[in-house]
Amino acid sequence: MTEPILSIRDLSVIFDIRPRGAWPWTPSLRLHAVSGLSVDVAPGEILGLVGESGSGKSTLARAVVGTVPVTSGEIRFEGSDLAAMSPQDRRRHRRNVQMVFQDPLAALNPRMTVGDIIAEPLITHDPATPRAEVKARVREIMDRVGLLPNLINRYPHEFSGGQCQRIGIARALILRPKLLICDEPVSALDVSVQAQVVNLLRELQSDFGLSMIFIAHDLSVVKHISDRIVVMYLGRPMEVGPAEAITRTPHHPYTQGLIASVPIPDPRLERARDRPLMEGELPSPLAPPSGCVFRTRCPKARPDCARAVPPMEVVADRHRVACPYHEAQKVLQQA
Amino acid sequence: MRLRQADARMLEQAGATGRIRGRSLWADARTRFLRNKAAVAGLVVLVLVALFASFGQALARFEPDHIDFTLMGANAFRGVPSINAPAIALAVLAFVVIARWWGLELAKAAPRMVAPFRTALAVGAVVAGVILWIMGGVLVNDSGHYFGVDADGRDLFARTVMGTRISLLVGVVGALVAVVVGTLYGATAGYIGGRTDSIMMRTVDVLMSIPFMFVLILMLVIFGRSMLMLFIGIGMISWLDMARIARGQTLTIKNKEFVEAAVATGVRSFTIILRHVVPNLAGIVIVYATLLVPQMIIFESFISYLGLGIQEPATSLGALINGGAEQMNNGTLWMLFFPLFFFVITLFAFFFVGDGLRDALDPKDR
Ligand SMILES: Nc1ncnc2c1ncn2[C@@H]1O[C@H](COP(=O)(O)OP(=O)(O)OP(=O)(O)O)[C@@H](O)[C@H]1O
Ligand code: SF4
Ligand SMILES: [Mg+2]
Repeated sequence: MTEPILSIRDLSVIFDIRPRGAWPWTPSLRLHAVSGLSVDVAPGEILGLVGESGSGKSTLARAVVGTVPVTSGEIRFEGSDLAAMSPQDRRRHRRNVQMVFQDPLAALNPRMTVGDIIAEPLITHDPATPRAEVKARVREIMDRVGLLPNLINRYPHEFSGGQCQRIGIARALILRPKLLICDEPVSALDVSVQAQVVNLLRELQSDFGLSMIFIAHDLSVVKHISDRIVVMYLGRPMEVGPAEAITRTPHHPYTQGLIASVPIPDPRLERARDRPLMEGELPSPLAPPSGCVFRTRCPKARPDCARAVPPMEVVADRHRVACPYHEAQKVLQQA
Repeated sequence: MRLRQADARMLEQAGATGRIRGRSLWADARTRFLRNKAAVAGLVVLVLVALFASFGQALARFEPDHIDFTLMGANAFRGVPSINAPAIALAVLAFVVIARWWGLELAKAAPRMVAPFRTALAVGAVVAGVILWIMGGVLVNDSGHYFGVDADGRDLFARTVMGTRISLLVGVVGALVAVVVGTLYGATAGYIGGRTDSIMMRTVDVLMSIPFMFVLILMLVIFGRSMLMLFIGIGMISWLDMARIARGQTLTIKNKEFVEAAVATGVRSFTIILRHVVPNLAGIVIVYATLLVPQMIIFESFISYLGLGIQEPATSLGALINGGAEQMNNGTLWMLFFPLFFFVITLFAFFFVGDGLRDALDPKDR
């Protein structure tokens, strides 16, 4: 296997929460947003990241782009440890990793023109670029993401959600980064527009040879675009494997539940389906369950599960599951 | 009103050429502001007051500090404002009749012009009234003291011009200090957050708890009364509220994703504050600054009322009102009326404009 472009080892992100109205000496609550997660991204690979709301997907993305502090663990980009970089190197490194955000409009400064928004990474990292060249490159990338270049002087609020997301993508790509992180880039868009944006991302990924982390809260979007998928629950990885394996033969009870929660459009198949439905709510990340974090909702839970965090078990080539009692389940695939 | 038409024309043209230039939020806000009649009227009044304060002295026949010893103490009967009421009434009536006739002609020719024309008519009548007042004074009662004379035999018109100018200056300087210092201070505290934020904002709290009126009065007594002292005093207080407002707003802005995008790109903190935070604060800052100007004017007037503000022979509206109030029993009510009139219309105009700006810039409206 080639050297991974991004390598995350045992990453934990814990937020200190001050309880409201607490005394200064009472200890902070510790919110475990991501705990003990390891994953690699190979050059040119698209890694899907799936999990319910609150499972720590965005926090993982933010840790990689460096907008939240890492509590423990290691993030290496092309072999160099981000935490060990000097502030200057860190700033320079940021051009290699760019991010596309969930809320397309909120990610654009309402007081700046589209041209200025897209140019910002460029003038930040190459301040010596002549104005004419900046403009030319902005137009070029706008054209590339399917925006008319003569919209360069418009303001974000004049655009639709899908167009705003294209602006966000143009901004992320103008520096030709090596890794692009897309945090639920289509969840806020209409279904018809979702497909366009996903296709655009696919296309750009192969044209620019990007590595990509693609985040979504359900498998249906991710499975089309990803090479590999990580299923997260309460900050921990539950199952990691090739997209095919995860969607066709999920091993982990949580993955099976996620797949079951997506309705099949065909009513006959839908009725015939045996759905191990998940019950209950996501436990509080302030006090995650001991042992396997999924045990409060797991249909197969047994007393043993509370004892220790289950290790990742290899079930097939590159397919690993964090559950000792896993069993493969064939998923009914629609045509 | 002319602006709105220009806007409409621009829109039409832009529509015809495929609208290549975007409409910024500022342009939207301007359109909304111009639709607010009270705010536009306030703005017109402010412009007129500013013109009066800047160029009024050119109309005056006396210097503001010129003392006419023959009128000193005799102003109650020999320093009466040179008003010729019937002449003014007649002239304004003529103006309105002519304008009305012209308006009817206009309504036939260009119906869309009528609304702007009405506003122009109202404003024009006021302006014409003032000019005729002065002209009437010149022609009929040639004392040249359009607003009469104060107790020391000085021309009240010249003094009102001067007082308005200084009061506006005090208000604007106070608001400017607030905008520059307060906004940057608050935005920095809010953006950096954590301990820096706590220390910076506790400092503001401590400064706020000092009774500034008292400190300023002490300073004026110790260092002597001067414009500089007054500006320093006003500068010291005016930015505190602004810093708090800017900081509170910054806390919301800094959690927006566009700020996170800038951080992730590697934009420096100071650049983020200037490029992403401050422009998004601008709306609330402008509104607050507009409302701060009258507050500062009132503050200065209060100090002048205590006899500690502007030093004679310079004057401010507050000092003039104070002087007028002292002379109320002498039957020289014009000494109170004229400065008070300019004081009140200025304050009302600022409040209306501030209110209009708040409505125009409030994103919740969108
Ligand atoms: N800056 C922060 N301070 C404190 N807690 C945070 C912060 N950011 C996230 N959290 C908490 O961390 C947990 C994980 O949040 P995260 O946003 O990573 O979830 P997510 O998987 O992206 O969910 P979603 O699908 O809703 O985007 C949540 O419980 C959230 O409340
Ligand atoms: S370890 Fe136990 S609780 Fe966790 S997923 Fe497996 S069976 Fe369920
Ligand atoms: Mg998220």
